[in-house]
Amino acid sequence: MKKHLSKIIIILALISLVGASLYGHTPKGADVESYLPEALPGASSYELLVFESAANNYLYAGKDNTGGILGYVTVTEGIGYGGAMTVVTGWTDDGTIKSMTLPLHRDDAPWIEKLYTQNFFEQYLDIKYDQPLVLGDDIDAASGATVSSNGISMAVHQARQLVSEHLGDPYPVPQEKIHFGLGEILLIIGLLSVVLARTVPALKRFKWSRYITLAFGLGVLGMWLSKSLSLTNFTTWFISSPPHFATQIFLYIMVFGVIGLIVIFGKNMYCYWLCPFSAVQEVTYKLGRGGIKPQPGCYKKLRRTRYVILWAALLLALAMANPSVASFEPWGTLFSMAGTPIRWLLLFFALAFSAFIYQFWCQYICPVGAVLDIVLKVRREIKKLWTRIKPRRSTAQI
Amino acid sequence: MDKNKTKKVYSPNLMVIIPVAIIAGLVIATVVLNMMS
Repeated sequence: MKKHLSKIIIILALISLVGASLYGHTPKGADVESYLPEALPGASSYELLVFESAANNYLYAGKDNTGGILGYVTVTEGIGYGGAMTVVTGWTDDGTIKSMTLPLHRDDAPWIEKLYTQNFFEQYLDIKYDQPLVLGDDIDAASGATVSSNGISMAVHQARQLVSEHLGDPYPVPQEKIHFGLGEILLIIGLLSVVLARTVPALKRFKWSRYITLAFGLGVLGMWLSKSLSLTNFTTWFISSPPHFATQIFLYIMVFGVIGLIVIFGKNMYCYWLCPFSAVQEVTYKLGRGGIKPQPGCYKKLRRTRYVILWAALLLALAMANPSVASFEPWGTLFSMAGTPIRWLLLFFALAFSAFIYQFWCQYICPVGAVLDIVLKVRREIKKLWTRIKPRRSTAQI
Repeated sequence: MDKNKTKKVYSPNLMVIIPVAIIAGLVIATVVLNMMS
């Protein structure tokens, strides 16, 4: 009966997630025209000149009372951390940028806040369509929000292409170079180090190997790059668009590397071994000299909280079609030192409890750990099924 | 073999249930605020 009940709960949870996804994907009729007056004030009417349905890009001409062209407005998309972000750009009639807004995005609010506080958008103003706009050379990415900066840069390049083509002087979107640098190399080294520490018998006996990989994760993924594995990295695939490959190869290595290692070795190489927040909790637990441990039955039940939180976060993110809704993990606040008051409060309590309860967040709350546990369980079930089918096949062949 | 050596000492369950409930509440509040922002 108990087994049936858990199956029913899983099926109901899946049905509700599918329902939320269908609701989230129903067209809500984004009113693109409502963006236009702010982008080009003074125009009395707007005419749609170009609509690229595949890329969801628009070019409008803003006209004055006499029907003369006052300027242009582009509505284009780039890909940020949480998926598509809509950039509205106002242009003069000779193709000079006069305004830029970001009415829709799926990135975390603290990162978007950084774009505004570091005057990222202002850098584009008064630049003409035929001037270079390369991020990193001509435009500075907002520090701590490079992925969001990159998404906006992509959208501006699309906008520039639309305007330049219309003005009869095409300026194509520049070919993106694949960003494979030190961060990506260190991530691969980190993952391989954990594999060695957990599979080579001589290293498996060495207790300190885990502390070494955790310190590596804390230094590289946490303090330096501020890029821990997050629920958003998974949800963005289902809800929005996959990350931009050329500029976000790091996320591809992280997501597919961790899942791939689970599939190959049947072990979670990230949680408790490379996760920077796990490293922080290791330190707080040592400092707090905790030792609070629930009884095994209660521990087992409390561990299921992770699945409930995962389900609730996914349900809302799918229904809203916005991966950043499910972004609440405290490491974002800790390592980027940016967050809303509620996130700081969450971080404070998570760290405070981790001083008394071993790996508190990872054991009872973490949705990423829950996702990876599900992958492990699926692998185990497939393996079981395979071993059940395999003998039958071989006997059938005899 | 001395059994006491391997005997584990457990804390009252509420000492873990309450922190989990507090954090779960804060998580829900964060998600709701994310939706509203």
